[in-house]
Amino acid sequence: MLKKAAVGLGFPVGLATDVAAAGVWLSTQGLDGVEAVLAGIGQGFVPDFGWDADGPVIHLCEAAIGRCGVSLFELLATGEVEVAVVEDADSPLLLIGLAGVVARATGVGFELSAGIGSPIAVTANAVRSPEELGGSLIGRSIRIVAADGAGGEAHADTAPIVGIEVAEPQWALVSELAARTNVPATDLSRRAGAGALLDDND
Amino acid sequence: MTVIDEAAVASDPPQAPLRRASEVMRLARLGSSFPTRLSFMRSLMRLLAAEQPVVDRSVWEIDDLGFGRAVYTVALSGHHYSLVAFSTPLNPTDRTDRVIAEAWDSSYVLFDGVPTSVDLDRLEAAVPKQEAGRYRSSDLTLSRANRSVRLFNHVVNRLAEGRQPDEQMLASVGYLMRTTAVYGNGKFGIADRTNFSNRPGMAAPFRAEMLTVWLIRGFTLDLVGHIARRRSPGTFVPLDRRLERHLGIGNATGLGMAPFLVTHPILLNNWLMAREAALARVRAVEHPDAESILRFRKLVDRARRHVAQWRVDDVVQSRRIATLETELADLDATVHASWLDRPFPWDRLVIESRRWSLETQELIVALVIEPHGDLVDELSDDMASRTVPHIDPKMTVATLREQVSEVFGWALDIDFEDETESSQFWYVSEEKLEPRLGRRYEEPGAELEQPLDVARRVQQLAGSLNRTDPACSVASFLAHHPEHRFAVVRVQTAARCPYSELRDNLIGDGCLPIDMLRAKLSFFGASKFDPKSDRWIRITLYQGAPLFDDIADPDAGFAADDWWLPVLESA
Repeated sequence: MLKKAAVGLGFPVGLATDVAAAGVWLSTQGLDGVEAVLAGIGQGFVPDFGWDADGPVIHLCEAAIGRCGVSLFELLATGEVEVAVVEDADSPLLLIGLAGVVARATGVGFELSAGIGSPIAVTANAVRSPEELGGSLIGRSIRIVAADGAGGEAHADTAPIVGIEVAEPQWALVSELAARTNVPATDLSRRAGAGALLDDND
Repeated sequence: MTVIDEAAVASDPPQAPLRRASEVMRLARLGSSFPTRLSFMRSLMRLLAAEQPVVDRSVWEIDDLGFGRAVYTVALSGHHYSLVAFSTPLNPTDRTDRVIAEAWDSSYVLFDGVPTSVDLDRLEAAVPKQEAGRYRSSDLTLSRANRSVRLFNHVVNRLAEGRQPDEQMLASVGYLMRTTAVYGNGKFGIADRTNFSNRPGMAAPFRAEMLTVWLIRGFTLDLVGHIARRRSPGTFVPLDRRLERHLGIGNATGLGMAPFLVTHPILLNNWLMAREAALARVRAVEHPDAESILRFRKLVDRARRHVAQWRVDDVVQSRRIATLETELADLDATVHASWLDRPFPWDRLVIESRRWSLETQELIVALVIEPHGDLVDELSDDMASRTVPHIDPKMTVATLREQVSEVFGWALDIDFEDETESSQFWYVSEEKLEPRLGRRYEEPGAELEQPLDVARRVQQLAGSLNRTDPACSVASFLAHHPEHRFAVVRVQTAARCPYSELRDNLIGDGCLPIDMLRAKLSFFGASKFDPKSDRWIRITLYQGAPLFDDIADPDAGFAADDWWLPVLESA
């Protein structure tokens, strides 16, 4: 549903897949992945990455995390970028989820710091100090570096989700956005689209 | 062998080269697939036969007309699972197998454990509503089935009259009820597969769904007997056991299955890899033992009789079956004793089969695998996948270009400006989210198409890659071209998993969705493929399979694993 919601807002399907995976990853950590995704895709898809590169350092202002987050971590994972500085992220929590997704794909971990407390470490299957997340990053300048060799097991098993609580308004919004990917019904579609008659039985 | 998730085992038996993906992954060949002994129903039956659980019918609250609820509980590898079944009146005008149906003859949940009466009441309020109900993580699958208009009442009437059903009719239909959906893996709030797939016995793909359908089959057999007995206790006779075994569960399948093969590339690879590795192991057998030869000869005979009983209305499929019958006779004549005595008979037969139709070639694949359980059954353990496709951001654009050429070269020459190559689009209708296929240049909605146009997207990716510095990383490329993330992950995955991609244009005039449906259904173990259009197919599941008491208390000499291509034997 999160993937469909992102596609419904105009995100390319591959990007929507990663954003949704970040929502699931956060949920496996007991965090509100749905809210994180909704915040990170709310602006809709912006084609421009919006970065300001200064050698091995990237600066992102008013960062649209749904658009740029996964690429940010991939660039850090390759070593092409050594430091990313993210200002006014629309969804700091989604940033952490995407760090987890890229850590799972690459085995490279990440550290996020906001100038207070110790850095938040994200690996393929864990985020340290989850209780401090979200609030500690909102409105702050977030500095991100790769923690090579500390990413955990690449391609690790997906942790099970026994069930998550989603607030009614959030779910209604996700459903509304996802529904934008469905094609309105027509008589022709109903009769011919599925390849079976309306009363198909034997 | 090369299976994602699992390392190759040093003690793997010898094997011939795998068939190339460029051969195996063409739609026409996949659409000629047959079930094998690695199919999911077969591996479940082997597990059940090894464990011999009793299926306990702990609840049977069914009235004289056959309406009410029932619970069947079975222990599988240390866990209890219960089919909760609801049979409800259905207005005949509402009986349709389409997803857009709102009511069904029966509905089901596979419950994790043994349900309490509170659970049953909750489920009774939800399950007959199917997609509109509310579910919990204790609900592992959700399903519904309709009675066969042709056969259900006929069987009830005959049994009530003290007679067995017409065998020809029974053989031509093959089931009492048809499932019209078997949902799993988190749909509508039911349990995610990851919640239980780590349990013993539940790792195999679609294991919960296959167990559900086997239990439904048992319920349908109980139901016809119950109604017939209640209607006329004085004259009722039970259904002959031979006929019971030949009744499976029907399934009406539409486009919903087709996108699954595209959206689960690693899983698809692992299914095909297991089957192709099995074939490769069998082809490497230089001198089969006498038992294998004898078994093979019997299976050729059975295959011929099975095909002779496979009758459909579809003109194209009827023609294919007729060709298959002729070619199987040819095969039968070819594989005489001295031919089989020469070295590598299975390899020679696979090579020899290239002169026959794809149906015959693929039947021969399943046929030569069948007598070799000791050699291949372990491969069914490798058919699941716990990983998802991922991007390697460190790869260079140059390497990615090479991968595109290597694994998607077939896609680069398609002229998508030609309307016949882009005439179709896959979409999800707002009507109960029914998957449908539209005509791009005649119908609205193409802007909302599902991403099954993999070939076109990879071709677009190739164009962008050609305009990019070859030394650039994939990470950098995708930062500027997020629209290509989907295509990049397809290419990188296909380079690692050779059987992960269907190697045909899925939006062109030449794409027949039933080929995709049959490919998937053959891995379930389905047979008697009965196309109703180019995108709708009926099949039979568990025909010839063991019954509940065949598992719990088999007759002496009963072979629980010997029901490949079942035949209704004469009395």
